[in-house]
Amino acid sequence: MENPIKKTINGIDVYYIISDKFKTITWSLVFTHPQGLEKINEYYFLSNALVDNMKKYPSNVIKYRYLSSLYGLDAFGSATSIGANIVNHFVITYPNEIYLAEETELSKKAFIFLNEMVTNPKLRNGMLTKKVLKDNLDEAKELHKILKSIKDMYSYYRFSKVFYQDKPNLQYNFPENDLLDNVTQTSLMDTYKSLFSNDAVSIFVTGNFSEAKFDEIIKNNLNPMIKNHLVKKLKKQYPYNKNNEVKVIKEYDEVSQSRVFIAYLTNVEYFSELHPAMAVFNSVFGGFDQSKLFMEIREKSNLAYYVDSTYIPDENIVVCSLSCEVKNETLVVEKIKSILEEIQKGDFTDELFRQAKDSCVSSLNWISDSQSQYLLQHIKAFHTTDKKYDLEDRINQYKSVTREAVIKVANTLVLDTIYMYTKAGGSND
Amino acid sequence: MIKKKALKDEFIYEETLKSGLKVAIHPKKNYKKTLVSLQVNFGGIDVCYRYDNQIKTIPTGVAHFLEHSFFSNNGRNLAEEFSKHGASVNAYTSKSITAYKFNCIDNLEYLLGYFLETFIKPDFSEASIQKEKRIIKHELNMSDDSIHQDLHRKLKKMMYTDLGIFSDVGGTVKDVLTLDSDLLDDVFNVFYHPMNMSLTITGDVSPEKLFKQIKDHSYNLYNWPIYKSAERIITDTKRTVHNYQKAIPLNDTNIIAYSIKIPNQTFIDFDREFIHIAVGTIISNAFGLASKNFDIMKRQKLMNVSFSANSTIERDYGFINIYVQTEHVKKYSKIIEEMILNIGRLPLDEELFNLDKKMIMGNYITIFDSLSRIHDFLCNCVCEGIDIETYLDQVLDIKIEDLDPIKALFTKENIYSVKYLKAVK
Repeated sequence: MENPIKKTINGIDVYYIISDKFKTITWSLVFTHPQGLEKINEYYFLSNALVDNMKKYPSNVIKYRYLSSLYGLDAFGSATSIGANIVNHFVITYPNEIYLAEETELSKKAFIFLNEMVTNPKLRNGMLTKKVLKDNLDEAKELHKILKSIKDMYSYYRFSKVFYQDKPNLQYNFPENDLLDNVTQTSLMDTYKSLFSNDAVSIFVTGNFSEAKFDEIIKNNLNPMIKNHLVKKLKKQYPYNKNNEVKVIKEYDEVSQSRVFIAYLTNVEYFSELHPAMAVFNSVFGGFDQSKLFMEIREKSNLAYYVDSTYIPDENIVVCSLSCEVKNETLVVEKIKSILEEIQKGDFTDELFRQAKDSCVSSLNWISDSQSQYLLQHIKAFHTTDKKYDLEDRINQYKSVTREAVIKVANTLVLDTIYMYTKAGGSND
Repeated sequence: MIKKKALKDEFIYEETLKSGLKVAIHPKKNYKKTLVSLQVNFGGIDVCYRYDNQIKTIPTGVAHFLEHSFFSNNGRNLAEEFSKHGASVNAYTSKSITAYKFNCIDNLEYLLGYFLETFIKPDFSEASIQKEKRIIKHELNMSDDSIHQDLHRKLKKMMYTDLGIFSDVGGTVKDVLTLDSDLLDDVFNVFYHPMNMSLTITGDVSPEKLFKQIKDHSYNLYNWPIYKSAERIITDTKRTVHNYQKAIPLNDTNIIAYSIKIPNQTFIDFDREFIHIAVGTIISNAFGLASKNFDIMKRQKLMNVSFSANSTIERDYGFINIYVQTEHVKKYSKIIEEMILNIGRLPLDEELFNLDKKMIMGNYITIFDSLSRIHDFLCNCVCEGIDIETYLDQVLDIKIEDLDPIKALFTKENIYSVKYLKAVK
């Protein structure tokens, strides 16, 4: 796929990623907020409230029948964090009209719908309605109850709570359950207004389309309410201390298998020179089916059905997760620690190192086979580095990672949290 | 090889080889990865069958156990070998099929050859069988912690008496511990014949070159015995208990599932693909985002993000699932039962039925964007004998009255429900 074409239309930064590889068109309208965590729930609610609360399409029946007439156009909003900024994405995807014999105006109609979604919600007395707020609060509370009934997800949620409890201003849970009651009709409306008065706005479009035609669509249909503002891009500042005190937390429930999460901090930063080495380290550690964790703990010792590690580059962490018999949980934790020590000493084969690199390169290649993934990487890269996402360059960086670099980044890891979601009285402690 | 047009710039190449293996190849220009799937028409449901004029009953979980076992047989380790070549291999077992899959960027020719070799004459060592028993025991125990799986198990047990249908795909720990290499060999000989299998490849590949490689491969040239099809035996007895509820200590929410059973006779009267399309259309009409029922439930706050309405359509059985976690048990139950019965009693929403055709067209085009989605769709078409060239037209040609026999299944005698409620404090 080609790299994006950047231009400014009606004052907004527009990025086109044109490729004949895909059959759909995706538009992403991106609002980057100057604030951090303090309005986390408001931004999360807005991403739903604007999609579900359109003045022009006042009921699901009317709205979704219209979307069916647009060949099943898919529209959604989301709130996420990029760096330390919160970002709202409003996204639409629909089949490219070149595959629809009778349709030539689909992209125009789709872009008008996207504008409507963001700029024309149902208001009463100039405010988003009480009902909208109540519906969102009720749904968030129900979501928490639903989460609680799914033990794998709930244990991860609890782990993340424990991990972030001593890292103020870094936790990004959407919605943040503990702060739900702070959201008011006024705070929600103020946040909505700030989309148009404070935020940096950009538009990303991917698919096979004519640049001139899409320039016209934007020029003629972008709502003038949507304006671009200068927003300082904030980096996350993670606490990193080699003499960190490790949190060891057990929480109990009626479970037949224990869920264990082990979180390590690193000082290797997102998109930094050592980022590819950290990704390769993670593959060696627990990132694929020949990794040390998988081979030692599942295949040789049969101590767990699943065990893996995940590198979360924009959070500076590596998290191991596994499920094992309650009586084995302490043994497994010790094994994981000793496997990490082995890697830190360089005790891993050249063959594993080579395969781990291949596995990372393979995952990178997968990005270019997915329009949505490719788009997301571009958005993140522009936000984090102000540069285009160059997939070939990244692949080359991964290919040139050395064993020494992997050992170096392995030695940056600092154990932060051991969390077990387990059964009372079942462990061999 | 037959070239079929699936979209104006998408073509599928199909052929049934000398061995009986059905092969479909879908070139996807400029995609980096190639996906390969070998599918066996043998799944968790197949615990009782007639073969060589004898009725055979096997323990639950054999299909799933075989799936695990193929990763280590004849002294070869599939995952290790694929990883050496920058590829990854995986597999899954459903009620109807077992599927072995790999994806790669390079080395396709070598990997495909190695992959096919694996399925000619397996030899499972005692050590690997014992190892897989330990791993599968962990896997089965994990599902014990899921209240949702427990609820669906209960629901299936209410609808069916057939062990193959209501048991878990993985079987019971007790059954799995009884498995040995003799049984695995027997089952392999019955079901792992190329006539009972299909191969699908999606990626930036040359169909001519690949067909030549597969045709010349020892898998295709092997002296396979004459294929004798196993006749699957399914029992479907009338059930009397249709509703069940219990309070669950520590439950924070009420979980409610309704199922509408599609009787076995429907699978004799109609082909599976038609049932699939008809049921999907009816669900969309009655409970989709654009349906009036969805709006009513949303306005009355009877449902939330947990709500889902979908179907399970396997080879010989199927049902529609309507699931929610809600605070309003009585009101929800009353309204949803009425809505289900109204599907059978009242005409479908014709305006929505017609609009859905546009959505179906859009969704069909969209599938081609995702390598994995189009690959899975093609696997299903090949396995089910669906002609991809005419598939979309057939779906679009369905008239509202064609759905009447499926609509008529929405009656009290086919409705079952299970409710897991919060314990009163």
